[in-house]
Amino acid sequence: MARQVTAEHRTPFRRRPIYRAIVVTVFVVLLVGGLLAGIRSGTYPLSPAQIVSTLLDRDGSVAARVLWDIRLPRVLLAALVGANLAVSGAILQGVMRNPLADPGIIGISAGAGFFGIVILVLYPQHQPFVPLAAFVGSMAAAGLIYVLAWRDGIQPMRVILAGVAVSALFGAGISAMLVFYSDRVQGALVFLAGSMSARSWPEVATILPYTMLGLLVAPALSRPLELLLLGDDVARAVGLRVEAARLGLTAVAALLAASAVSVVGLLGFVGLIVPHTVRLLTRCGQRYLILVSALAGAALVVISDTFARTVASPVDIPVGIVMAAVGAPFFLVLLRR
Amino acid sequence: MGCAVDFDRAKGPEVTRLRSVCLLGVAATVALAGCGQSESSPAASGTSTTSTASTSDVGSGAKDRPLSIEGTTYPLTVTDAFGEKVTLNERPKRVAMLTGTSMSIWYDLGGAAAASVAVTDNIKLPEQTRAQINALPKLGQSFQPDLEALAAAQPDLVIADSGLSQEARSTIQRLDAGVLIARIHTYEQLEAAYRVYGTILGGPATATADQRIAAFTQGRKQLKDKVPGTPRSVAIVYVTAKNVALKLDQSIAGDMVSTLGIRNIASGRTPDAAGSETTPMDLEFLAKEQPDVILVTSMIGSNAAARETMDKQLKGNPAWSAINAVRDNKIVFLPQQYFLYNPGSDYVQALGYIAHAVYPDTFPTVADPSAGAGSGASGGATMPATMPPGSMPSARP
Repeated sequence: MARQVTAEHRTPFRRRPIYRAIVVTVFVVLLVGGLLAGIRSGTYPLSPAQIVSTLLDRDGSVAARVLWDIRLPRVLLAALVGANLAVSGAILQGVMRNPLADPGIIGISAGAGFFGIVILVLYPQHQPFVPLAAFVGSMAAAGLIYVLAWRDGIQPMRVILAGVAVSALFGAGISAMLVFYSDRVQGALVFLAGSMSARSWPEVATILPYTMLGLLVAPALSRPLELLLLGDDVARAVGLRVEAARLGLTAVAALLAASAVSVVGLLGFVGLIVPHTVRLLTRCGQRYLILVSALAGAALVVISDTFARTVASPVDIPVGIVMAAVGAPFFLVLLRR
Repeated sequence: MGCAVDFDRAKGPEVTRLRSVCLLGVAATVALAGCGQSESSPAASGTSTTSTASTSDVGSGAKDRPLSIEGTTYPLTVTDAFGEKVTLNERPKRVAMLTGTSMSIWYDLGGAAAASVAVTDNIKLPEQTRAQINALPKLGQSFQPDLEALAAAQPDLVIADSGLSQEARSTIQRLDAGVLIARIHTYEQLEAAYRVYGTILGGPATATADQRIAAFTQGRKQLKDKVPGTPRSVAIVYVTAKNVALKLDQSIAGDMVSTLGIRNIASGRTPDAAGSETTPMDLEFLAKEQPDVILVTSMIGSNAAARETMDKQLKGNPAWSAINAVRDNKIVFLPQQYFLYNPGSDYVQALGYIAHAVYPDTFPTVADPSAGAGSGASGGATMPATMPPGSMPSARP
């Protein structure tokens, strides 16, 4: 009898600290490996020796410019975008208590994308304003979702349905722009797929503050997220101001998504796949989930973008297309669970 | 810090079932949206939207045949860009124009249309006919024509661009009218269009067409002979600094570049979609090839604004500084009048513009097409022999 009780109380392997440490290590290795592979690969021929010497001593040669101004910022940007989108998805899935929530599905990305497209198509001479426009768009979408989903408080199911509606609305807006200005779509179409082409340090500088904000704030966010997952009544009973917490969390998620959309375009699936995968691998707390999602998201986008620009070199496939190819089978796996 | 409750345990079995149903529904929606996005980009250029299955062969050559014609007097049989044959028994009396380029050539030969799509100011049309053209019944946009207005115009010949969607084509073909789909980007296609339209119009138009073609041939030869022996290389970049799409040989600018023996670094590459004339390239590819000059086309309304924007975007993006041509300010903006739509009768001027852009020492002056309404040949400012860094003369409004 005593042995049985002990056996039932033994912590499952998945919840042991050692398992969590292994998962974190694996993702760190994937990220570092991805970054190294990204720096190593590209259309411009650079040997490892050249790369190392150029990183240590930046001269004015074309090789140095390619490495420092084209390849390095692009790889770093991929990591930051992946981290932002993954954390945004993790937060939204917790806040909405729904595993389908990600900035793309619930319309936040579409809102950011619509406002970005308006600038790109109607006012292309004001391209530097795209990040600001994307932020305004994402907050507008988030606000609209809340207004639509509100009925004596927010029910997660209503949020998803409202999100799908808002996403469709802004998607229609984007399509309308492309139809009425069909002679100007070329630049906008690549924005819609999500692309890292010709991105450099200005884009890294745009998104970096948001990534830092997200990662710094994540531990503070984890407690409200965990409480919200237990249900509104329980959370209120414990003393959490539920609506304020939900609003604040959504704002952070919207900021992270908007910053990613503004530099790369509408890159889908990252916010959906990554938190799910981390959750599948380990069923643990939100703080852990957010930080590991950031690592995993960064690794995923870095590896995808490196693949996208080298597989058909010198043709540069937009990274969003690779993500869609990865994301669709992922959905099938999810359904079969 | 304990482990949070996961989604399944928080709800009962009925909710889990409902969630599965919703999962299915949203998954279908998102997967379709994802597929839609990946299909639409980077496939669509300004001219080709949906894929077209021609009745004859399918492939990248399927919709860019130069127009051809059998016979010199009526009845005539014209073969269009798709290989479809149209027989005309007599000279068409009511012609509906769904494309500005063909309209420009038609009017240049002395023809007139009965109805047309909205035509931008960048298309050259004879000044004396402007009022008449503005008064024509309007047929909507070039790629989204108003089919009811078209039917109401009762045309006996419809001329459209190859970018027209499959659905619009089949609807138009049900009208009681001949339908010609033309693609006029390369010189071969331009010359064929002049010849065919001249024959259709008959009378003095045929002689005018021959004159134009003779002038083109002579102008081409003159420019080609003057091009120095050591060929330079170019990259023809389309639209924005964030999207490195390079124009291929079958584009308007690409065809002129290859005519002059200049090397297009994207030459021979596969286009991003059937019938497209661009392909998205890695910026590192440009760093590897280091073209001597970068030619830029853009969709921004005015040439001056476009030039300024491209300058700012290219110079402000550190990634482009790896390209020597950007650092040395060997960037030439291609005016829309010549390179967004086919320059038509201004072909030789457009060719000269490229020659001047790539070999400014050999071809010191060029006419600025945006000076004065639609006139490239006569008047217009001349560009200085060397391009001063960071500034180009701005166009007169």
